[in-house]
Amino acid sequence: MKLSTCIVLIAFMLAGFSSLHAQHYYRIECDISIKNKVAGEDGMLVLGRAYYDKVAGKVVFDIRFPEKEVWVIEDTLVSVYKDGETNQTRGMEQYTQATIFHLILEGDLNNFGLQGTTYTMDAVRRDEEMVITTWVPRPGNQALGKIHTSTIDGALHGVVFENAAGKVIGRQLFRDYQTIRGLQVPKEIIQVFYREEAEEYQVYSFSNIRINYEGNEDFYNYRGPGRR
Amino acid sequence: MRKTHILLILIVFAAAQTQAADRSMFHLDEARIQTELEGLNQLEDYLLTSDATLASMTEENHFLLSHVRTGSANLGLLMGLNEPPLGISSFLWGFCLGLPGLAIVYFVADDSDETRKALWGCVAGGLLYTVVYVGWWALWSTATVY
Repeated sequence: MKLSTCIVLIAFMLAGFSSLHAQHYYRIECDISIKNKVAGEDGMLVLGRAYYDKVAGKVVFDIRFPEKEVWVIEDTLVSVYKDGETNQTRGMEQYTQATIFHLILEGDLNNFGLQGTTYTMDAVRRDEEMVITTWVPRPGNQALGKIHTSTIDGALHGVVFENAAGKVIGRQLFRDYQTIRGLQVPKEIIQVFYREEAEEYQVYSFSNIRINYEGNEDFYNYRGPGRR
Repeated sequence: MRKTHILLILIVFAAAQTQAADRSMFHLDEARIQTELEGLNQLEDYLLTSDATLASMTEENHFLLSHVRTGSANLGLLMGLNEPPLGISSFLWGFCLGLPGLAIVYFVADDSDETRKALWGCVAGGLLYTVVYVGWWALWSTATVY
């Protein structure tokens, strides 16, 4: 066998292995709590359980508080099911593939999913145990600002968002990592947005996390109340 | 020589810019955040250890609901779903584009509050147009007579 043929075969095998490895994690579910508050105003609390199946391509929130509802995000559409009926379906900017659940399963959380997007890596530096990467928008995206990500021991620690003028408009911290079936999953995300009038805080907490759980099919591929 | 000085100054400024991306960028005032979220944390703890619902808590006028916004639109707000189209005020859509603007908000935002704002914008725009049109007509008539 020629050397070049051999190299091509090995490359294909490695690519196949890499692909299999990437597909190994395909499901995640967890209890979720979302707390939101603008400084000085009343806050909001949402409690429920979230389900994401990479193949089905749906993020499903089974909400228990404040109202019993099921939210289904599929591609760019959000459907809300309440009392056995679809209440609303509307477009949203955040794609399913950009959710934290997808990033965790794909192993892309450490770069915040920025690799291969409209952002490109500009600089990498180490500050003690923290590795800080600065991402800049590709040419033609003047409206976007820089994003800085930091990792500690390879896990995403923080994200800082700037506007096009270089002003910091938001920060996120990813904390309390738990290793589940070899995947690093943060149990808490704290974010602050600096609005002109006041700061806005949002805290996501994840618990009872299951990876690749074979069950709850009705939620992973939710088709509406009572439909299987 | 002068060019070298300018170049050195630029390099120092560039270094200062790079230096700006350090670990302090990722610091949050967590004590302040926890103080702000104290009421929500208490409510969460209560809900996780009881079978209480919003309806039952509202019925007993529970003190933990005193500083909490409730309602089924919460998740929508958290996900930014209730933003007006293109981030432009719904009032302006109605005010500037009239009925087409109202239709855009109705179909894109799919939110009754945003549609209402667009309707008010539409009404305000219509009134302003009427006032300007009548005023211009009156002026034109006056100028024609003399």
